[in-house]
Amino acid sequence: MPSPLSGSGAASPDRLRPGLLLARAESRTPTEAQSPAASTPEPARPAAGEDSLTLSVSVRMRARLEGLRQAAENLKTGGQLLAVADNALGSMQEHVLRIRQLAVKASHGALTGLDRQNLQVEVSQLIDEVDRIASQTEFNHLRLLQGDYSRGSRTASLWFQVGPGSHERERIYISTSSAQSLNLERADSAILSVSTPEMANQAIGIVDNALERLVKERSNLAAYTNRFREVGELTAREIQVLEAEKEAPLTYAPR
Amino acid sequence: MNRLAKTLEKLSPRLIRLAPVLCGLLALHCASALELLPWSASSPRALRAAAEARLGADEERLARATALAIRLRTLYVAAAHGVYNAEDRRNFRRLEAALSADLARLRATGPNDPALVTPPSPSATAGLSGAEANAGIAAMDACLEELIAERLRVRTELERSRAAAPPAD
Repeated sequence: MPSPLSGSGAASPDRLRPGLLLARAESRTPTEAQSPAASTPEPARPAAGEDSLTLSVSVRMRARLEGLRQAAENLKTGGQLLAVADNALGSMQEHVLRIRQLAVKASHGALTGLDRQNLQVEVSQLIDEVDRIASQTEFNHLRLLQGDYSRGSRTASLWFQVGPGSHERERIYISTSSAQSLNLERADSAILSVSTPEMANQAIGIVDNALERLVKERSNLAAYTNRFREVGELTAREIQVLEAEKEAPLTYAPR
Repeated sequence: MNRLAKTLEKLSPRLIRLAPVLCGLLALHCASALELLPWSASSPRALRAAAEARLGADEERLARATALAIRLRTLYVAAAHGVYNAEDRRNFRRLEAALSADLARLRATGPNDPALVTPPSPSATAGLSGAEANAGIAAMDACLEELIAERLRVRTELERSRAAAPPAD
């Protein structure tokens, strides 16, 4: 079965097990790769007076209802994935804000070289931490902030199945947020320097750009989250309607 | 009267010897009248009952297939979601293989039905991708429509057969 999640704010790993998701939808205890023949659900026997037209309506309705229930589960796990990514970006944002604070301090002329050296040590550690978060944030073993799901990515894509039908899915984009992509580290691994007042002053501008990128990325995630919350509410309402309909089905029998 | 008595007196030992045979013949006659014998299955009533039983079994089989198709469709809705890793997708593939095989068996009308010729089971390393799952949803929708049509046909036949039956009394 799937391995446990990592990353803060992640849901219980059980929620992501395909078998369990199905089990919730089908009210059966699954074991992976077992033949479901023995536990094939009892088919609904035609109720007394059920006519041919009702049959087709009820089968389609059951399929949609089960699909909607699964879509609601999908929306929950999707929301958890977005929350994990947002949490990580929030943490990175805090670190970058601290880097900015240190750069402002280092750009002041009254500091000695040793003072700047000490500030540089902290800046380097913070940039390392930003990079670590970017490379290690994952949800169900999917690395979220390494650029696999960015717009130009050719290695992977992230789709959320938000409805019961085929093509009722949405693609999610999450940009890379590594220290390099935020310009906190150069391609030759040279780290943002605050060792002179001029360099520290330049660093403030670079850090501001990094902050802009992080804020933009978090805004995107918040927009996705709000959008899917709306979809979740609509889905829950439709499930309610269909369940009520199941209890007291409409009859399409010609009189 | 006298002659009849004499004849009976003469025949009685034979009648006593033939009694089991006569009783057997009488029992056979009764069983035949009640359509309990194999050759009585050719009677219209028995033929109709057999046809209705076959249609009832068909209806049951198709209802099971419908339930299974809905389950497989739900699996595809789950697998089309992007939050699963490679191991999850391999599990999805195994579940899909098991459910598809059962569905094919239920949909098959005989041992040589093409529905039973399922593609070779995928290797354990090839997980069920989101795109495949998405296509699977559409395929299951089409499958459900076919099952509905088939069930309607069976049900119509069943109703026609019942309507054609003479009243019980």
